[in-house]
Formats: sequence, C-alpha cells, structure tokens
Amino acid sequence: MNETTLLRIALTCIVIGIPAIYLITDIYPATIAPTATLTGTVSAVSHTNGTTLTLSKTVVVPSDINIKTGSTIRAKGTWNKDTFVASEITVT
Amino acid sequence: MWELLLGVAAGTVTGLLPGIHINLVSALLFAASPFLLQYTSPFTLALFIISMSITHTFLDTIPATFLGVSDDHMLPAQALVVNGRGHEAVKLATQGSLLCLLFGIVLLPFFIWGFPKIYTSVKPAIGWVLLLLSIWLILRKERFWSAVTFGLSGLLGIVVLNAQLNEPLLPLLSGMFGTSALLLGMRTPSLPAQYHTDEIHPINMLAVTGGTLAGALIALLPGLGPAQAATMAGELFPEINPWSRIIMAGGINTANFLVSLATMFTIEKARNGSMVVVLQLLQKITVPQLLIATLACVIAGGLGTILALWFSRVFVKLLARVNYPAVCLSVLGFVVLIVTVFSGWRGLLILVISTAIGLIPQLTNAPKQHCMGCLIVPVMLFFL
Repeated sequence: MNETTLLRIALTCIVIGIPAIYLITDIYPATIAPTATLTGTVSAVSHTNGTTLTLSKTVVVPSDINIKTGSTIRAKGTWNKDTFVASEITVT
Repeated sequence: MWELLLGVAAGTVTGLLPGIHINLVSALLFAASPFLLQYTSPFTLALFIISMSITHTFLDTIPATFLGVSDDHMLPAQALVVNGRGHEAVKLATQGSLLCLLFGIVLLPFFIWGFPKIYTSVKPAIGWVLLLLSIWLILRKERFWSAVTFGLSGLLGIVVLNAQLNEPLLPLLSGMFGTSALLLGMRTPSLPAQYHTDEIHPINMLAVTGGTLAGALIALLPGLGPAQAATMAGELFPEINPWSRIIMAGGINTANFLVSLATMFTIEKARNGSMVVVLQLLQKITVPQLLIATLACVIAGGLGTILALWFSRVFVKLLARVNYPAVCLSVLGFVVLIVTVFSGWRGLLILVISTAIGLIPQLTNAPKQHCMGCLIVPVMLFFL
C-alpha cells in the first residue's frame, strides 16, 4: 500500500467517524453528557402530568411554570434516555 | 468532540516522548477526576483516555524505530533504519495499526459474542496457560539467557509490585524496554542517511489478521505483552515476510486497545493501565457508549495515521542534523527525570536494576520479550 492510499483511508475514517458520533449522540444524548443546559424557543406545549416543551429534544418542566408557544427558555437538567428532565428553568 | 481532539493531542505527546506513558497520564487524570467531574462527565474523560491510547499506538512507533538503534539487538523496523529506510518502517507499522483497527472493528461483534465463553473456559487455567506459553517461548531461542532474563524480570516484578511505590510500572518497564536500548544506542555514532522510497508492499491480510488476533489475545489474557503475542502470531503464520512482520507488530497494540472495549463490555475486565482507568471511571460500559468509543477509535486512528506519517518525516530530517548519541542521552536524562519525579529515589533504584536486566537480552541475542516476565510471573503466581 502506498502512502497516498494510506492517507485516503485515514481521511475516510475521520470523514465517516465525526458525523457518525454526532448521529449516535443525537439518538442517545445522555451517553456523552448526562447533565446539560438547553436553550431554545418553545414550538409546542402539551399538558399531561407536567408541561412538555418541544425544542430540538423533548423537555419536561414542572406544571406550575407558565409556558407559551414562542417563549424562550433556558433549562438546566439531566437526560433520561431521550427526554430532558429540567430542574432549573428560566422563561423569558 | 473536544475531548477526542485533546486525547489525540495527548496521545501524540505520549507517543513521541519516551517516559511519558499513557498509563501515567491516565493515572494522573484519575487522581484529578474528583475535581474534573464537577465540570464534565465520566464518559468525556473516558473518551479522552481512549482516543489518547489509540493515537499513542500510532505515534510510539517513531521513537521505537529511530531511537536506541544499535548493532547488538535490532528490531525488524530498526534494521530498515540502518538501511536508510526508517520512514518506510514507520509507514508499514502505521499501516498495520490502521488496518488492524478497522479489521478489529469488523470482528468486534464476534469478540463480544465469544469472549465471555472463552474467558469462562480459560479462567481456571490462566496460570497454567501463562506458564506453558512462557516455557515454550523460552525454549525457542537462546534458552539459558532467555530463562535468566525471564527469571530475573519475574523476581524484580514480584518485588516492585509488592512495594508501596508510586507508579511502579514506570521505572520497571522504562528500564527494561527504554533506557537499556538507549544506553546501547548511544554507542551508535550516527544514523545512516534516510531516504524515501515509493516501494509498495501489497497488503498482507495474514499479517493484519495475525495482528488483530494477537491484540485480542493480550486483551483477554492478563500479563501477556505484544512481543509474546507477535511471536505466537508469527508461529501461526510462518510464511509472512519481514515487512509484514512490521505491519503485524504495529497493529497488535492498536487492536489490543480496541478489543479492550469488548472485554470491558462483556467480562468487565481491562488488561492495560489506561483502560483500567476507563473502567474505574465508567464502572460499566453501555451499548451507546461502546458505539461512540469505537467511533472515537476510528477518528483517532485516522488522525494518528496522518500525524505518524508527518512526524516520521520530521524525525528523519531532524536526525540527519543532530548528534545521535546526544539525542539518546537527552531522552535517557528525560526518562530519569520523570522516574525521579513520579516514583522517587526508590523508583530510580528500580530503573537502574531493570535497565541492567534489559541489557541482558540485548547483549546475548535472547528475545527481549522475556523481560515481560516482570508482569507474567506475578500474574501467574496470582492465578496458580
């Protein structure tokens, strides 16, 4: 194998590896960071036991917090599988 | 992603600088983990260690190839250096590392499926397996001096591992494999002029298979080192040529780190220092973590290949300009300094003794792998 082929294989590894890591991290967010801070604009609100906000991921916030579609929130909390359970929320 | 890139940077430093080993960096990181975990997750630290370990296996080929070259005992890669083809040796070893890494990923599901069964069957007999393998290896070449090297290494290993010493493996392994070679390398006045060749060696899948399986073997059996695994793989595939042996030797360590992920996942065991720290941080590795760690190995392997080829060219240029014995002496001084800082005066004493033992195979033409007796004998006694 010549050096160019070796470098091509190496570059392929990098080019395939980086998006693949982001893909898996997106599917299993808790794998990398069990705690995180999310910021985003609320796109949908549904009332069940708590209040569910739909950002890029589902975020569960306590029901006594007044959230409207279009609110901007900043939430600190932990991932439970693909659901983000917020413990500290700022709504503007 | 930043932890992966930092790991690659750290692996480049540990790979290029003899004396700064990944086990040492991992141990320091673990000591600092109560502080670091306030800001980051255990898996982030684990990813840093994994990418550092993989990159290290690509870069450590460079000092192993170019430093400590002497007429007394020459590795196949160093024989190429003497012929002015050092860069080619690094290229072959890097090729081995990358291909064994990729082949190891293909085989990873089989390792995950098979390891628990194999380990359960072998576990009661690990001590006897290691004893028989050691006897077989001693009987292969220079029996008397091989037995002396193995016996003395084993004795020193028992003493050192039972002493209350910081970083006991640092002086033990640095002396046997590092400073002893550097001492003899100082007698070489200069390296011959190095040149680049475009000679293409076809990919030898036997060497890649041998390297991957040998790496898997040492991930499964405690105490065994890459050199023993390479000898066994060489016996399994006797028809492979010296170039392919460099490919195989280059790939064993990389495959070993990759396969360690499978042993951590299945039998919750780690067979090398840095992976022990990963296991201590995570306690148990989950499927998503295994997937991300494997991809981190792929990215680190890609970056490691590019860095190894680049640094090899830099080394070739530098070594043509500098005084070779002075380079060996500087590295020797650096190792002594590191050992003194981390293991104290007792570490320095162990370094002197382990260097003396490391000189025995180099001066008698016995295989240097018998120095691994320092780990095999204590492990053997534990299991017997």
